[in-house]
Amino acid sequence: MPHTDEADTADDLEWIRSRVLNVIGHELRTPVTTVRGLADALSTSADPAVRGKIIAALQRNTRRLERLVDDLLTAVEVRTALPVGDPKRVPLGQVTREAWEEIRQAPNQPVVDLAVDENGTAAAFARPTAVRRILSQVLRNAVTYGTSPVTVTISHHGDTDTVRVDVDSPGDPLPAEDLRYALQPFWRGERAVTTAPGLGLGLTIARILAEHERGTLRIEGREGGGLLTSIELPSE
Amino acid sequence: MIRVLVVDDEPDICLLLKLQLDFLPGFEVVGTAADGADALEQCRALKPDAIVLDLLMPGTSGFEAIDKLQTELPHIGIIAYTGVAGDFVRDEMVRQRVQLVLKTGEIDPLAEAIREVVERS
Repeated sequence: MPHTDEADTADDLEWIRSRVLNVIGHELRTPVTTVRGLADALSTSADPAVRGKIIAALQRNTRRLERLVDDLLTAVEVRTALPVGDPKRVPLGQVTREAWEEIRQAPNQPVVDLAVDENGTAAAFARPTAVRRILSQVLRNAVTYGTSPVTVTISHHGDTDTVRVDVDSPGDPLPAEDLRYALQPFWRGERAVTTAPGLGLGLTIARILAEHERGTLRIEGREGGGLLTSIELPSE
Repeated sequence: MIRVLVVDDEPDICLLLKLQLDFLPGFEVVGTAADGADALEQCRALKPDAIVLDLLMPGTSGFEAIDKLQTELPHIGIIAYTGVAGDFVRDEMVRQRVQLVLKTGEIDPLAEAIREVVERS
């Protein structure tokens, strides 16, 4: 059969469909498996200490399912999942440190140090939920795929009324393909596929949220290896 | 009593499997580990009869751990326990002669697979 552009497109779409469903299935599997199994275990356990552990795990995994739904809807730009409310002053150094603490408290996190250069008290004028989610996704990406230390530099650009957050994450040199597609939904580099779970949505979500706040998010390969992520948001 | 080591980077999966397997007659979870390197160390120390091993983990993945276990501790029965298994995973487990079980909340398929690999090894 002659190879046509239409056939190429159909094959590509099928490949993407299969890949997306596979990734979603994988990410849903752990919390769904855990919730189902733990609910059964709860019904057979009489020990109050064990029951307490089970209930805490059930709560963690239902919250995880909730976040997955939010992330999926945000990644495909479903407006119902985008943050609502009025923009406010958001102190970026403080939010960076809070997001970092939350990531560090998650189980089995690699040991990565953070340095924040705040440049005074630079603040964005945006929806606080969106800024927290943007920084959380970018920092989580740095912790998962980079090495120590992660350096966050916050700078104010008075001439354009914007504030910029550069997240410098050293690591292995990134293939050109990763840099080209990393801001697209469900893209997972070769290394991510074999070593880390995830939807391949983190940077996509951060980009969409930054754009929703009238800002931008860009990435580039870092000299010496790793990733530099630059977020620009309206300033206070 | 079949002594089992559970390896998964998701602590709640380790908790679930420990509760489920310890509840079944004839099984004892002797330890849990969060990645392949930790799993190897615990296998050397605890000498379990079987290991239930997640494949996608940060650090040393399950794929790497299988190679090392089969070389160094071939008497330990290995079960690959994973959320989804595409062609690559299925082919690779056949090539390595490792039994594959998909994660579900149900313990019976996993328990049955553990019994089988322990009998074989």
